[in-house]
Amino acid sequence: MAGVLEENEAHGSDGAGEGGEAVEILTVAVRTEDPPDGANAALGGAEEPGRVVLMVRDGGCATESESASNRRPRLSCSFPRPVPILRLPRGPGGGKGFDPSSARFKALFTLPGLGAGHADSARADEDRAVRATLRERFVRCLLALGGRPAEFTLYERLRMRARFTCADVPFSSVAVHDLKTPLGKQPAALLRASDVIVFQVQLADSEAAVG
Amino acid sequence: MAMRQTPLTCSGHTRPVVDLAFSEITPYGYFMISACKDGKPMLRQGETGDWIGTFLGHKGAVWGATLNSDATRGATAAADFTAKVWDAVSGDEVVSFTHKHIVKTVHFTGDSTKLLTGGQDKILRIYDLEKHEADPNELSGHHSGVRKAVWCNNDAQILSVADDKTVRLWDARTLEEVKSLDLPVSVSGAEYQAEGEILVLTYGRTIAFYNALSLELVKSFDAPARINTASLHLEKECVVAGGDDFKLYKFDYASGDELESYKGHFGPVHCVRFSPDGELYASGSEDGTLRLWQTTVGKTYGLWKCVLPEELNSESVESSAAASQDVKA
Repeated sequence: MAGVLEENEAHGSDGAGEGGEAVEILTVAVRTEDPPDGANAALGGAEEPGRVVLMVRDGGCATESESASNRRPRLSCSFPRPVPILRLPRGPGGGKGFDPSSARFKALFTLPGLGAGHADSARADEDRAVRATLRERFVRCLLALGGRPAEFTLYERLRMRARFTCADVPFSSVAVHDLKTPLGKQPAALLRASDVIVFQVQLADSEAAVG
Repeated sequence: MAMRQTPLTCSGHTRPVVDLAFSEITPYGYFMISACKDGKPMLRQGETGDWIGTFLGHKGAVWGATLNSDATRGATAAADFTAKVWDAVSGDEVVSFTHKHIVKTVHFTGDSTKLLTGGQDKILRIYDLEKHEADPNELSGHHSGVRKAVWCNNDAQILSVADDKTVRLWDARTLEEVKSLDLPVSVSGAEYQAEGEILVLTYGRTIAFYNALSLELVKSFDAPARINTASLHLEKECVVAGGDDFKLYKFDYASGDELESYKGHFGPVHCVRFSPDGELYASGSEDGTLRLWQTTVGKTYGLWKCVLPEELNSESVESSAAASQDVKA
């Protein structure tokens, strides 16, 4: 999917950009999907998400007197203006990457330990059974914690109380209700698991489960 | 002298980038791995910054990352007390070595048969990658957490830099300490160059170059700001460095003169490395991005194209727009 951007200013990526110059920009369709963990908003802080390749139609050296108006500047020299180019990871559809259709993958990929001896495959089966049991226990535990009061500790010493509801399959987000944030109470919220350092769920008056 | 340069900005990390490493040149080009506090190290094509994949599995900040010479294996050191080895072709985890404290540094031998790890438990460990279950060999001696450890002298020796303000040289076979260097302050960054056996150390505003085998100071010079990391060009002509003032500096190695400086990052620069062909250098910053900078600005290389003024008329807009179709991430 291509996100076409419209900008009316050219910035130098080095921060010493000439502000206020209005240069018409020929935008190029590029992908603007979020990085794999969906945290587009947190990209580097000052970088606007989705600002990718910008091509300047008239790379003129606009003087300061022209910067006030919106008209295209006169071409006094024809140097291309350097524009920032953003190399983004592919979106969530691509998963973790490592494209299996790439030449390198096809040439170098070898399946680990396939066709090993009978003993190995028996151990692998046992492994799988144990993993399945542990996963089932974990999921049941999460179900049991649902609806209980919890306290989340985030970065910068932020602690928030809420009612733990559930988490998603890869445990990348935690759904909560009645979240008491420093700015007020949120009836429902989704917390990014990567932002949570620890959370504590109250099981009963005397016990607590820490996660 | 401030020049203008358009770096390639590699986004995707959501926290500060603390380490990066290049592979050697392979038949598929060369590759770069970045370690980030978000726990998701990424593999990128070295010449273009194209994202290849993300290694998923760590449960804590990744402090160190490295690739083996042909970029078929990657290794990462993380705050979840593990060092993991990855298949850099498929992205799968090959093996995970559990430690007793945060692991900060990992390094492959040239033949990828052994992995060196070091971290906050002050002990260096050598793992046999052909026998994962075997106990690692241990090298003890440091009084503080190890920041960086590398194989040197053709994998016969090991160099380690730690927060106890020492640099130590060890024999890889006997596991004994051979030499030690005391420094006045804690080292912020270290780079080892096999060709010429040079160790580049940064501390305070100083960039210092030592003979890696004798630990003797070769030369040093100061930068305008606190420096966190530096890298020496393979032809030993120039040095790039970055630090707390967000800028990238390029110095002449022989004279120590500042040649160029570039603004671009929005946070302190934590790591910088030259590519294996010396044509570009990559920097990782607190702002969560990596930037690729040209060593020779304006040269045609990778995604950079040298455009002369007379070429830049009507036809060039279409041709440059067409060329940018490859610039999808």
